[in-house]
Amino acid sequence: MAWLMPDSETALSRRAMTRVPRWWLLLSCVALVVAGLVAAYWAGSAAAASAGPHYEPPAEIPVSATVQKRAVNQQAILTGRVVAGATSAVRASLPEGTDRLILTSTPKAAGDSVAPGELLAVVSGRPLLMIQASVPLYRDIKPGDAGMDVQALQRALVGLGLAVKISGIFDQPTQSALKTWYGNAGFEAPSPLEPVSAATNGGGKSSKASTVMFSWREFVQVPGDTGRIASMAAVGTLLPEDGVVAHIAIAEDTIVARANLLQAKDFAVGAPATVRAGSTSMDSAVAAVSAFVEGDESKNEVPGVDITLPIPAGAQGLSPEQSVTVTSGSVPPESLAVPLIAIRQENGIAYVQLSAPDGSRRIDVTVTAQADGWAAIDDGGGLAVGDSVLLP
Amino acid sequence: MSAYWYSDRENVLVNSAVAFLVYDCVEHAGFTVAPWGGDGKALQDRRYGQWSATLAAKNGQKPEIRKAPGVMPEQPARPASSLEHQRAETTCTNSVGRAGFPELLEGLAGDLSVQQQITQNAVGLTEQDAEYVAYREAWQKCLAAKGLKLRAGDTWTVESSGSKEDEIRVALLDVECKESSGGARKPYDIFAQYQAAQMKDHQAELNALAEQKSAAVERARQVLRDHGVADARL
Repeated sequence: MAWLMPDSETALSRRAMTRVPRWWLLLSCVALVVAGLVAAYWAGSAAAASAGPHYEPPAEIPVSATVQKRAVNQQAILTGRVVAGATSAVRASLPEGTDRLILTSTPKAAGDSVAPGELLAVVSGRPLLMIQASVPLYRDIKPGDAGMDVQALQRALVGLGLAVKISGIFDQPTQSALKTWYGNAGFEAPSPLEPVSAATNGGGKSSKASTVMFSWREFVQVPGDTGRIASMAAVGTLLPEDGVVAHIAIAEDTIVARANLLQAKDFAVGAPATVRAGSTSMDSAVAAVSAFVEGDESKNEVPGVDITLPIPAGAQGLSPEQSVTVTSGSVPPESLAVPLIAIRQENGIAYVQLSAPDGSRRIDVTVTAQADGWAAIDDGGGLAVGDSVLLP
Repeated sequence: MSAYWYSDRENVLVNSAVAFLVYDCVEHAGFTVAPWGGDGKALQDRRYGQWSATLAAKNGQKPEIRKAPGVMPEQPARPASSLEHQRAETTCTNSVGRAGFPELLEGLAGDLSVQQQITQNAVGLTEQDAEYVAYREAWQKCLAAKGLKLRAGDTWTVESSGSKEDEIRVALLDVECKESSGGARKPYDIFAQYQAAQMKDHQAELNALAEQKSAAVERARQVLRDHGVADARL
């Protein structure tokens, strides 16, 4: 068996050489295939690169904003409502000889103004004349009567342009003036000699009676003497038991808004303000500021002061209880300003990055106000109008 | 740091879960529990006094109260309960306790948790900080110039006459002085920086705490679901 071994090895190596007679050809083929794959990959990459857009990480493009001079307006905005002005009820008293209070006629309608001397209405056939509030209406005044009330009546008649001497006595000239007043309104003045009733209406004729009396029931008053009719009973209707014929608005509707003590600084008396209701906007000015009012948290009312503004003349579409916004109209002075996002912070210090040809540098700033995306900055910080500041 | 305390909402969830468990116990003792519910409340952070002019104008020196929506609707005042019922409630409150829910609330007395330690350390470090000290001096000088002084024993509350109007006026001047001394939030920012530095040193413990908190909140949600609280309220 010893001789078999060399023979066997020789035979094996010979067999191997026989299967691959030129073994280096195999290596060459493998090298060719690999080279082909690499070439194909390179060619594909090059073709793709030339065919489509070339993507590279985007370079950082600095974005900057220009320093401007502008008013950074930090306006206070309040929520308010329209508050109906005070009204005064005008009541008629039952004339003698009548059973019910019926509004017979009236020359007035809602919205009309009223003033002393005017006829307000006719109730159960007798007039209701407007008289100054200074006349105390507590008794009928008959010829010869004297007193402070007569004196006040005489002053009222003078105020209506009637010639009367202030004597304090219900004398003939006073009675004549009263007759004239009644006559101008289309009625006869009542006479102390005959009962006053609808039958004594003269329809413009002067009283035939030589003497007249002042019947307090035929006069009505409103505080402040003038006003505007807020509501009036319909002609022909039976008046309620309390005899209310009309409600006279003696104060105009106003706008009231609550400002906290911080906001109140922008709403001093006389300060301009803008009132907005829906798409309507109107200019007004603060008319009054109340004393401090404690808020009511349950009603979402903040503590502060109530700001009152008149409704501008000619304003349309505002009715009592309507919600409005009130914006302070004070315009702050112009100062240097940059967009708010340009303001950076480090250790509580505000600064901006000033863009310069040779790079950027930090400028510390003091922000004095901010509103609507802008920050007002102190002028002494090394920035000037037109400078560019980088945005983060 | 707030991530490691319960948020307002989470606190409501956990407290409501505990309440349900206490009332389960009361009912088990044979009593009927009257309907309960309502929103939770949380107070504005005032460690360094008032910092908002807007809130000062509204509340003066008092903290703003935030509302956290409750899991059960608001109920009218609960009727008076019998003595036995009250005893049962006390017993159940004691036996249920926190029902295993950790109390992760800032400022709890006797709390020795890591987050409490971090906060206390940050408070101490802030008080020694040169910037803080300078800020406080400038603020006090400004207050004195306006004729104001600090309330005795309270280092950040300014004395007022007691009327609501004066309290608001003083609070607004207080914030004004803080703004002119470097910003009303400055001490809070300094504190936050120290707190952040401390947190880095205890991050592993804090991570475990965050997991503990998440688990507690999730468990609370499950307790609430089991008691019929709708998912929309969770």
